[in-house]
Amino acid sequence: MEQFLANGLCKGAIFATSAAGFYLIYRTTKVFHIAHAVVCAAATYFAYVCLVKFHFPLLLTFLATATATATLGLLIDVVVYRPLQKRNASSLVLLISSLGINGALTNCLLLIFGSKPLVFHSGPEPTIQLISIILNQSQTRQLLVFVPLAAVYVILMKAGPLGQLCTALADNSKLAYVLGVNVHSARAIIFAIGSAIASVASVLLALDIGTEPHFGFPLMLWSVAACIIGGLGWHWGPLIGGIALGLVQSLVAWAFASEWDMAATFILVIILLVVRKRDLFVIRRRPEEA
Amino acid sequence: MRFLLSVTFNICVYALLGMALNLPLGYSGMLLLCGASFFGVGAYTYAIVSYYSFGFLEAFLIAAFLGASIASVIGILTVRLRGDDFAIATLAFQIIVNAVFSNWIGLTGGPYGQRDIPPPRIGSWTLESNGEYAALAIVMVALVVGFSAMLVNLPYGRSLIAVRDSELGATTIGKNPIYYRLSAIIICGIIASATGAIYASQITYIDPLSFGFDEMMLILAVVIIGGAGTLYGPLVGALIIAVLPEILKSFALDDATAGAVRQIILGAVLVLLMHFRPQGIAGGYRFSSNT
Repeated sequence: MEQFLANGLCKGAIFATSAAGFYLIYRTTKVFHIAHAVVCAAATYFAYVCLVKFHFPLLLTFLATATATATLGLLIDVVVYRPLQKRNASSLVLLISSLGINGALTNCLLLIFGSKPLVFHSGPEPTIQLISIILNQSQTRQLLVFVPLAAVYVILMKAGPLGQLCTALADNSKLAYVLGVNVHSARAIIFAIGSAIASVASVLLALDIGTEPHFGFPLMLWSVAACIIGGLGWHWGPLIGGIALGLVQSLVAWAFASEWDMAATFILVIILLVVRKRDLFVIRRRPEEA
Repeated sequence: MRFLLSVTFNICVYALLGMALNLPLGYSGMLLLCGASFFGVGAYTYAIVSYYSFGFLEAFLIAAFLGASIASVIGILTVRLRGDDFAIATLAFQIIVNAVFSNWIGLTGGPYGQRDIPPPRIGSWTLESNGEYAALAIVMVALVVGFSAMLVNLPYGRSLIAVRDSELGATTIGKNPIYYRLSAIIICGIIASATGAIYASQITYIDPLSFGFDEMMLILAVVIIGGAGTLYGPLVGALIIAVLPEILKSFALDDATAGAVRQIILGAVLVLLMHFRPQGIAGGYRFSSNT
């Protein structure tokens, strides 16, 4: 049981990080960014090339991957979403283009790297034992990276300008524009930061389980689920939702079987969407804000 | 000739799926992302039911009925959601159904799928040749085109479009939006699962991958490329989607590469269409209202 909870916590750390990236993009730009999936997958392939082909050290790999992924996210925004947004396209149009770009890029990855799964290491990893819990090296790394990253995210959102910018654009981007915010570059920056955050999560996960062209899709779905569980109205939402989701999945694995985690997650998502219409933690708003 | 007939069959299958999805997507403006799961439910039901020596017609009707029931369940749950929420909820449903296909090994065969699905047998007449399958599929397409044409020209179809374009307006003149949306989802479920039954009987082998997210993208592309909310748009879209891999294969690409290249082309086409011609080739709904 403790072992399952610890595994859940590690998984949750990954979901929370990736969900934070998705949340930033979705909340700020209102783009339901399905192409987040291919951004995550591309990050793992980039990291694979850095680590396995060129033997970069791990820290440098993370930095290089984050930069490359941020560029990819930014490009997707500038090339695909920005022209649509300028024309006041509906969310349906944005969602369909996101699906399109995701399908196209995922299959590009498949053509370049083949459909075979790639693993980053061979053989079992060294493990660490804490009382009755056994964690392997990747899981320890996941927890150790998550804590400072979450702290930086929270500080940025709560104290830094990023949180204000995010809230301003989310609530009323026209007003933000009138007040002198450069909306287009702000959006591009948000896409870059969101993608970079998600790249860290995907590389951490890929170091553990390896990667393949469709690697990003479940990760994107879990991020969406984490955002819905945690709530989209506040900055803590994706972090809390991600951890909760990891714990729920490990409980499902403990009680039934691990292959039902996807189904259990999305039954929960449908229930939440239907019952609360939005999220678990309803943020109280003044009537004029509704 | 055999080749042409099997391509014709594929075109018909995509046309049927496209026309099924066209009702919720094109005529009522809901981005339903679980069409492939209705298709799969039909195919699996046909495979499992015909294993217990039911006749073709019984198996076909049971598949369509189960498709309708599943569609009603997801429809009743999600019909009040809007925009992105509806898309997420139906995508979630698609994933749940796919998880059932691949994990409930006792019922569905799991990743190994269902083999040796018997061909349709009506009385003493068994469908065997590609020509007979193509004929069956063409008859189905003709029926569904006729049915859709009737629906769209009835007050029902006009109310559906009214609800899509202005929910408030439609409500004011006494149309219940929930009723119209829900019925569109259920009709979609019936047509898609009936198509699944025919598909399973022709292909004789099904596995969860045939009804996954990639398949969903193809069905979506059929509707959007052809023109959502038009009668003949899905037919045009199906022609393109089904013929494209054959053209790619003629460039000496193997099956897997041709599949990937097709997905790349379709993805790019979807993005470009959304930029330049959201109403598709046939010129239908522009996805403009934010429902």
